[in-house]
Parts: sequence; C-alpha cells; structure tokens
Amino acid sequence: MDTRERVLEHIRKHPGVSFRKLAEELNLGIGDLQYHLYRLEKSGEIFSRKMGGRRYLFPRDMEGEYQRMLIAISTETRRKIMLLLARGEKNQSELAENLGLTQATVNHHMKELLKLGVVKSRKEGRKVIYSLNCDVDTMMRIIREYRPKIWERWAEQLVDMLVELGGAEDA
Amino acid sequence: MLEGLNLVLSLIVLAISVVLAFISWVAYRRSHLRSALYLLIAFMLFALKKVFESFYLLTSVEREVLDSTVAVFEILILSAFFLAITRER
Repeated sequence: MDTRERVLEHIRKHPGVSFRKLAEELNLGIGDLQYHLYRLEKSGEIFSRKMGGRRYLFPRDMEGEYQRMLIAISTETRRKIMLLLARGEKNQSELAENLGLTQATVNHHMKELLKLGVVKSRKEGRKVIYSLNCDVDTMMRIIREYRPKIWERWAEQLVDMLVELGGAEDA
Repeated sequence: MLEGLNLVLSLIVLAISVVLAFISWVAYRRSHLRSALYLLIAFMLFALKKVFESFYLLTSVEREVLDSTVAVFEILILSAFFLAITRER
C-alpha cells in the first residue's frame, strides 16, 4: 500500500483525526503528509476544516454529517452538553443541573442541537430525554484535540452570556 | 502635548472597539444569534464614531457638524445595545 493510500485509509477509519495526530500515527514527515493531503483534497476524496487551531480531516462521502458535528461543538456549553450525553441519555433538568445553567439556556442549546440532527429526543411521561445521534468516537476525538484560540474562547463566553440574557433568537 | 495624548487615547479606544467587534463577529458566525449581530453593529459604530472624532482633531470640521454627527452615532450605538439586550427568545 503506498503512502497516499495509507493516509486515506487512516482518515476513513478515524474521521476527524487532526493533522498533527495523523502525522504522528503514520510516522510521516509534515511536508510529505501535507503533499499527500493536498492531492487527496484536490481529487475530492477527503476534506479538511480548521477549528480551534487544529486542522481536522474527514472522508468526503460523509461531509454533511461532519459539518453538522463541527457546528454543534463550536461553543463550550454545547461541547459540555455533547460530552454529558456521550456518557448516557439525560433530560433537560439533569443537563441544567450538571452544567449549572438555567433550563431556558439548556433548552435553547438543545433546540439548536436537535435542528442540527446531532441529538435526538424522545418523550417519557412529562420529560423529554435527549441522546446523541452522531458518531460518538469522532465527536470525542475532535473535542479532545480542540484547543480554541483566546478570541474564540471569548466569543464562546459572549454567546453563553447572550443566551443567558435571553437574547437567543435565531437570525 | 495634550492633543498628542488625546490621539493616543483615541487609538487605544479604537483598537479595543475593533477587537470587541471582531469577537462579536466570531460569536455571531458560531451562534447566529441576532443579539451578537447587534453587538457587532454597536461596536463597529463605536469604532466609526471614534474615527470621526479623531478626524476632527486632524482637520477643521465645524463643531456643530461634529456634535450632531456624534449624537447620531451615540443614538445608533445605544439602540443596537438596547436591541442586543432586550431581544427575546
């Protein structure tokens, strides 16, 4: 198997792997890997997204699903919600209690996550139970590697503050 | 001397408002919250107001024109802040 095929195979097996991790795991030089990724992106077999100072790599055939996942984890509160749901399904009040947020704030984030399709809900009596509806391994891989830049952290804090203030109406 | 100091202070205020506008823009791009968009507008208007005021230090804009323009900017900025805070779900 040549190097490019090895890179493609690894990305297919581990969607959301970061550039740095891929170089480490395949024991490839940065320049060499950059060249192969450029050729793979150009031929439409993979795509990459930069987020929080990292470049994440995905197979092209699942672009929509991963795009939604990247949007879903783009604020700190949503990342925390996704991590809590990765441990098991929870209702809104359990999420609010775990995160130290109001139910209204959690409700806003859950609506967004449901809209993105990365979370699903079911009714159990009067309670709505939420669970993940995405590739958990990939999501965990991205969140583990995610290191937001300082202004991204400030922007995330601003979003949380605005949602708390009640200014959470979609544009 | 005092004019020079004023110019430096104005540049600092301008830099802070541009940074805040950038953070609001990142927040809006990530969340699509209208309130973040209003904050972005407010900080951009604030930066523009500062540019206009500093421009006055360097040129000879009439005092009345300056006062009226600054007042319009202030109304727009406060309105944008008001909308950012009061928009309901």
